Amino acid sequence: MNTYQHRPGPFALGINPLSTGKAIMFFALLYCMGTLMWASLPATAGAALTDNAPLIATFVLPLGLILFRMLSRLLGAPWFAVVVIILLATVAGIASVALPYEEATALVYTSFPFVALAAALWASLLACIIGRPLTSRRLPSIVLHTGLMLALAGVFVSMLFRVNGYMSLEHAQASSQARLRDARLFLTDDAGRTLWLAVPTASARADRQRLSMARMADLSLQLLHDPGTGGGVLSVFAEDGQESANATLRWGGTPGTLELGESNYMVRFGPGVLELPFEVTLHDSGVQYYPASRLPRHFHADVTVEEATSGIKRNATLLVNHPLRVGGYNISLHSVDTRGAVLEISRDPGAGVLFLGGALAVAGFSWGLVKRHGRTS
Amino acid sequence: MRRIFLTPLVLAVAMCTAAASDTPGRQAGLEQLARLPSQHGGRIKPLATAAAEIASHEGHSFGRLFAQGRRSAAVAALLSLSTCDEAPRHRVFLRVRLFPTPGEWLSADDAATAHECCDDARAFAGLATRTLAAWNSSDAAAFNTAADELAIFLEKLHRLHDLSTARLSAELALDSYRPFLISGLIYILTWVPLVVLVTKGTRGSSTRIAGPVAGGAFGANLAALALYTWVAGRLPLNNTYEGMLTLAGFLGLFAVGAAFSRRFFAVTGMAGLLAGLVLLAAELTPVRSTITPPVPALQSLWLQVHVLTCFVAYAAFAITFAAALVVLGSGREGVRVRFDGISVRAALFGFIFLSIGILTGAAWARQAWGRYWAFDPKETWALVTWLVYAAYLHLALVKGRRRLLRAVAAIVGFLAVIFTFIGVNYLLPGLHSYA
Repeated sequence: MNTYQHRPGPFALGINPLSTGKAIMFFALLYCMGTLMWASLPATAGAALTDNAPLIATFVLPLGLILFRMLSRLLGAPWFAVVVIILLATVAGIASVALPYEEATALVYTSFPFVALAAALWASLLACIIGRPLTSRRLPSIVLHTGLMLALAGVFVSMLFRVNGYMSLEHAQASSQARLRDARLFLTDDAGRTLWLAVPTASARADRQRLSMARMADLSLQLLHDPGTGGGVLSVFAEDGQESANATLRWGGTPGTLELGESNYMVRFGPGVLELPFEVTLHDSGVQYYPASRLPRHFHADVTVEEATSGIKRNATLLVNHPLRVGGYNISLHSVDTRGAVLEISRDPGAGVLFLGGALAVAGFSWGLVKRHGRTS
Repeated sequence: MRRIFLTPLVLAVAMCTAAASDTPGRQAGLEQLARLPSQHGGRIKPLATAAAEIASHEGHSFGRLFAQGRRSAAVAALLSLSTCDEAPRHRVFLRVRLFPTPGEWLSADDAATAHECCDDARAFAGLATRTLAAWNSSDAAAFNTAADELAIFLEKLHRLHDLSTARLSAELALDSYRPFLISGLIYILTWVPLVVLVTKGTRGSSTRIAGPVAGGAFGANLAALALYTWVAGRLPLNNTYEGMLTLAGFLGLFAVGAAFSRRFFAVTGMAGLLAGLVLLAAELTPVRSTITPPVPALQSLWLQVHVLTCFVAYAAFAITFAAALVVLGSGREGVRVRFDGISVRAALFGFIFLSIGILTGAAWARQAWGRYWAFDPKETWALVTWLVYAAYLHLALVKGRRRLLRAVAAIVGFLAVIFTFIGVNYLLPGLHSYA
């Protein structure tokens, strides 16, 4: 067994032979963590972050830099990694047993503390790589941990930039729009600017929520959300300091209006819509069963996909496990019934990063094993 | 008071005799029927297998069918379910598809009402009805004759349709001779040399049998897996039962491989014992299932890559676990050091395969569902397992001598493995509901 003697790296001591590279990496880390925090904090905090961007740039970033340099020894220590790993495992395990998985995802896995733990793991990986002396003996470990860092970065990219919707088509119907799965509250002002906020439907906490639309108007909105009535009824209560207004909205129904002083707002509650750079036409879909049973053998959907820019038409049969890739989007078959089919449309810029990082990590790990074996025998 | 432990045995004997008393003198006819090919649940399978599936679906005790080889008991159960002629639900025997055609096979009920069909179909319907009537009349001689006539009549048709019965015989053999159970029992024997090794601390003369025993068990296991693969037309990876059979195969492979090594000889005993336990658990609990064709979600090459790599990891982690138990339990320092080394090496090996397993699973999920990660319980628990072993390896590789802590981590890790493999399937519903 090798034992690793913990020596503080030059970074921790303040002697900085690779300062430019390290600074870049550090800023990348901070950028990633910052965007993450913004995404996972409630909308109020997100707005506060953008509003105070100059302040953050002036004070918080340099402070963070100093903090990271002070903490790099702590972050790079193996026991820190172990503690973070155990915390992540415990939280994930408990959440998956205690909650149904949609709820666990909404309340735990995408919540700020959990994501912050993942970010801490990321910082620990970074400190492990750059905070210790670079020797040839450590190369496999560096490849492995860089791979993991890349993979985790891929997950963060997915969290921020992944789009995923569905398209419900009947036979001979065509569409170039996918519906997003989250519920959204849309607010349009006099000037025609539209703003939306995600309304977490799966969450039990959503029955009373305060949201801020500070980025467009100094409005405070209170949602009284009732998921029990099928599509859900949303009561919006808005105030801007002096005046207040009310509107009751049905899921996907007609928009309501809010009059506050001299401003008029139009509010709508429904699914978000994803405009796609292609049009899908469903010709036929169905189920083929195994003989003498009700066990499905194939689900299929025959489609034509026409790309908007090039006008290229493609005929394809979608099967489970056989998706279609068009213009960066993944079109897969979600479900089929007698009248039509539901297609899952997704685009995920983080997936490539994740798999690249994963492959790198596996390669680094294998390299390390081979090296270790070669030495010991 | 001690006699209370005999209760299960007494019950088992009573059940067997009860099952046997159903069929005095009618065994020959039942055997004839049991071998008949039938089309049920999307496959061509022996009537005995179809009958067991139907009987268990109708609430008949599956355990009892297993009590005396499924062959005739299952057919007897099927015929007994068909007593009441008025209610269509109870005419199940006449609804089993025994009459071969190029497309969907015909049952006796179909054949009787098929207008434009040939005389053969009507003749078949008559024979099947007569067989059932003879069963209900409890006339053993009449039943045996009717069953024989039905079998001979159908055999003629099978020859006409070029139907090979080799696979059906193999499927019956898998049910009757229980090769997985037998190899599991042989695997268990490797326990003896392991005990010697752990208590004495050296390889005594009795440990010499470990290699041949493991080899024999693995041979039987591999042959059974090959037979299963041939019968099913796919690798046994599609449900928990099949997964356990394959997992035992990997453990057996480790056991045989380690038998050739001086350094890892102890792995033979541990892996062999674990393989035996896995096979016994698979064969003797309700996990056991019949062969079904793959649903669309499982028709992918990724299935093989993803499941096989995960099982290699599970097998390696099982060895880590067993070695950690020895580390905790043994009083000898030499034994502890040796088993700790084995534990860490197995964990390293398993970790890399679990990583590949999770990555290939993510790639498959991306292809099938459009997203590589959905926090489905199986995924979450695979991640938990991965994290636990990541912590374990940091404890192992970074500062040398925390053997006790490591052993505890290995045990926690294996509990996570068991929960990922078995617990999630039964306790937490999700996307991986089929396995």
